[in-house]
Amino acid sequence: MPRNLIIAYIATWAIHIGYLLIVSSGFRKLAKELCELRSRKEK
Amino acid sequence: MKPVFIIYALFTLVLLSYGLNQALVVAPTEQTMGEIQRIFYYHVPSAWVAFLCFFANFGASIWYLATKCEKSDAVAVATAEVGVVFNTVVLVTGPLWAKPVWGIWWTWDARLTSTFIMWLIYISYLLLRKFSTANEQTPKLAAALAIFGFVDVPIVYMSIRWWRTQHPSPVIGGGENSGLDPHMLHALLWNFAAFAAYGLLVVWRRYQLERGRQQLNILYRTQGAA
Repeated sequence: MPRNLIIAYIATWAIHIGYLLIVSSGFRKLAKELCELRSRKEK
Repeated sequence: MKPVFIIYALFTLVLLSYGLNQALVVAPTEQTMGEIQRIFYYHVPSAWVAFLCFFANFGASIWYLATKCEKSDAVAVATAEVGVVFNTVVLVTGPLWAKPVWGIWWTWDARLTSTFIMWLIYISYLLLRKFSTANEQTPKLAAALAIFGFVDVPIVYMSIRWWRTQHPSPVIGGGENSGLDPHMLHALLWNFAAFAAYGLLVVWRRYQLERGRQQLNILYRTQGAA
């Protein structure tokens, strides 16, 4: 199998997985901010 | 995560696995280019999904300007981001195919240049959304940019029909001399279905994130006012 073909398929999934990680870190950040907001409200 | 989302994610995974098998194992080897042609099964569906995302972004932006509905703004953000991801895949896989086939990584022909400009337009859209300080005006400005920016999308699509380019002619809907081996077409369409399903899955997730952010901003505003 040509090297560039392997690189292309791996690069495609690296880009998609990288983006999925960015989105999931966005959810974590959102949850953290919500917790902070709630604790500020309770005070 | 809702069960329907998990079921849909599993369905997408099955489609992607089937598409990968079609692309690397089942589809026949192209006679002139050889094995490297198999990049086509990821490159072309990615371009089609990017077009669909930018079209959805265009529709959502018009809808946002007409109604000021925050849900349509969230759709616009999600589709622009996912479109840029797929456009990036196109810009990475294209040169990896071009080098062994053309002998060069890149050339400034109409298709390649207009695709690169399309990527830059939507990157600028995302940068505007991220760094604009005109908070309440940002969705409006972004929607206007999306509507004007979309002009490039049909140019990208038509570029290989309007001009003689280094980029290959269209294999589907390209006139009398175009066409594809039925087994190759089968592999191409399955990969398109798989990547379209995957694109929808990611847009769905990104939309949920954007809705969460919008609701958080409302909470901040109400707390600030109180």
